[in-house]
Amino acid sequence: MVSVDEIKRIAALAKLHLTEEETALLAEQMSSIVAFADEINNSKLPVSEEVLINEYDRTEFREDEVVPSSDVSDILNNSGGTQGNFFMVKDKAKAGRRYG
Amino acid sequence: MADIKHYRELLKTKALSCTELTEAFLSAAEKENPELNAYISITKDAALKTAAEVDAKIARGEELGPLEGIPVVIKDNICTKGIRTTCASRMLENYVPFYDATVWELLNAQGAVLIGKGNMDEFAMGSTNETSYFGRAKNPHNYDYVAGGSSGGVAAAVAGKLAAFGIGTDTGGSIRQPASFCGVYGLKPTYGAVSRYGIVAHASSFDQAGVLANSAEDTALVFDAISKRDERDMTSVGSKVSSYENLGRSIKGLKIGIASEDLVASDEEVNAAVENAKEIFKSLGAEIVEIKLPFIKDCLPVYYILACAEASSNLGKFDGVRYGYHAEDYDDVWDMMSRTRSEGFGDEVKRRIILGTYVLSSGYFDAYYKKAQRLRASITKEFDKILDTCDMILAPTVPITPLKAGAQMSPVDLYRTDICTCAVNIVGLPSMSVPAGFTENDLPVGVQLIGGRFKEDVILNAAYAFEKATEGRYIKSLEMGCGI
Repeated sequence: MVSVDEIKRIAALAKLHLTEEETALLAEQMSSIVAFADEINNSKLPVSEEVLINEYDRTEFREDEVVPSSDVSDILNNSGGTQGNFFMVKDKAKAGRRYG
Repeated sequence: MADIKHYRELLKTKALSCTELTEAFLSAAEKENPELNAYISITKDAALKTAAEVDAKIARGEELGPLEGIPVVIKDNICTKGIRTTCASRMLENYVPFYDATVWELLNAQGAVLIGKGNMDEFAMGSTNETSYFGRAKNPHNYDYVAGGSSGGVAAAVAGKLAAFGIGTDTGGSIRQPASFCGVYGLKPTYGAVSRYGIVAHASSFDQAGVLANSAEDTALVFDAISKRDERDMTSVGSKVSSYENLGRSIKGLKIGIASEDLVASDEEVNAAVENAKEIFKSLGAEIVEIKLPFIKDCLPVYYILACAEASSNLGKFDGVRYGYHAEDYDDVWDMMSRTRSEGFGDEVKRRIILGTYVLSSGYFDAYYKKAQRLRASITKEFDKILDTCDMILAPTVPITPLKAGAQMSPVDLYRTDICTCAVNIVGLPSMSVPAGFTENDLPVGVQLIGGRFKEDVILNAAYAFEKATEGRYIKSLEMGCGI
């Protein structure tokens, strides 16, 4: 059983703003999803001490070399607001009235 | 047959110019898409520009590459420079990347013609395409049914001949399941065979780009073109064997494992397709061996725990600051981020972020995430043992036949339909869905071929042999498409 308070705690960690209705629905759904996740406890497989299989989970390293960076204006192009080479977010005073 | 070879021949013999071929596909896509909804964007200008370049090359008498001038659909979570890439989410509704994903860069450099960006479940999270912010792609065989997911738009466009082939991504079955539902071939390569650079990450240790096409030969041709090592993806290895050049080998003596007790469908029409495929492989000289996969039921919770944990981390970057949707009304910068994420993500994405955050949070990390990661290593070892006893595994792709739209399944019931596909993502093996039958109401059914690590050539050759033996009767010609 996942409680409403637990969902509120997790939503805060996940930076999600949930309405009371959404929180209640998620608590109900997450209870059955977590029960589903608990099925790993029914596994009869020996639980490996390893978390990686070295043969497969290797990282291919490359030479550390300086390469041209992306163009700053390209990077900023998808932002809602910029000032110089910075992303700009409107502050509270300019943001207007909060809804809800 | 309308396959890549056919279109290449038309271009080579100048029966059609590349511009004419492209216009035919664009016109079909524009006609069908308002209803089918396979494309989120149709890239007419880019397509005609590439086609004109190919025509200029033909006019100069230069030889064309294998995919030059061939129309393609790319899933909308694959970055295309200067072309909107939405992940079917409100969060990225207007996002225009300034760089190409490697998989598209390779195809673009080889002259493939981009017809458009394929519809998908939001951030590749879903099995029906119904989580798309842009509405679901429909199944071209019957609009009342789902195209599957998450690469449903790509599968629908390829099946409807609105593109000659497509590129999708597969995290837990997202290429193979819609390929099965739409009656096309769908290859999920070995993890590391195709670069993930520029693909919007869902679950990084599972994600893999692959091919959807109308024949085994086309699938092999495209796989060879995209399976290159890429220094920008540290897990990229590429493929050292040409699958295309290895097509046509006899499959006599090929050992095919069947887990008739553990990997079975709940729908008898799917089991009948697997049984029929088994008999066809036997008639071609393959040896059928019974295998045991008792741990297959463990794969679903392991997959959802780990994939959601990775997704919750990967999606943390969408905060309304640098790009993407941005909430208008808020109290402070933290409130802005929370409201941006709540308004920008759909319900399924939020559900998976919550589950992922839950299993990573203090008090639950060892019980869920760490245990699932250890079981993942155990499952990998078990699969390795099985694949020492056979060359490939034959199984259902999906345990059920295509779903009716709006079926209103609970999240857990929907997750359980990934039972046949998600195991290979946990282990990183290659696998493909092959059209292998039809339901009583004429909807496609696929079967799945699972191979050893980097043994795409084995499963593609087996699929090719199956296709030849069945004379392509499981690929249905639909009343739509470019008609060429």
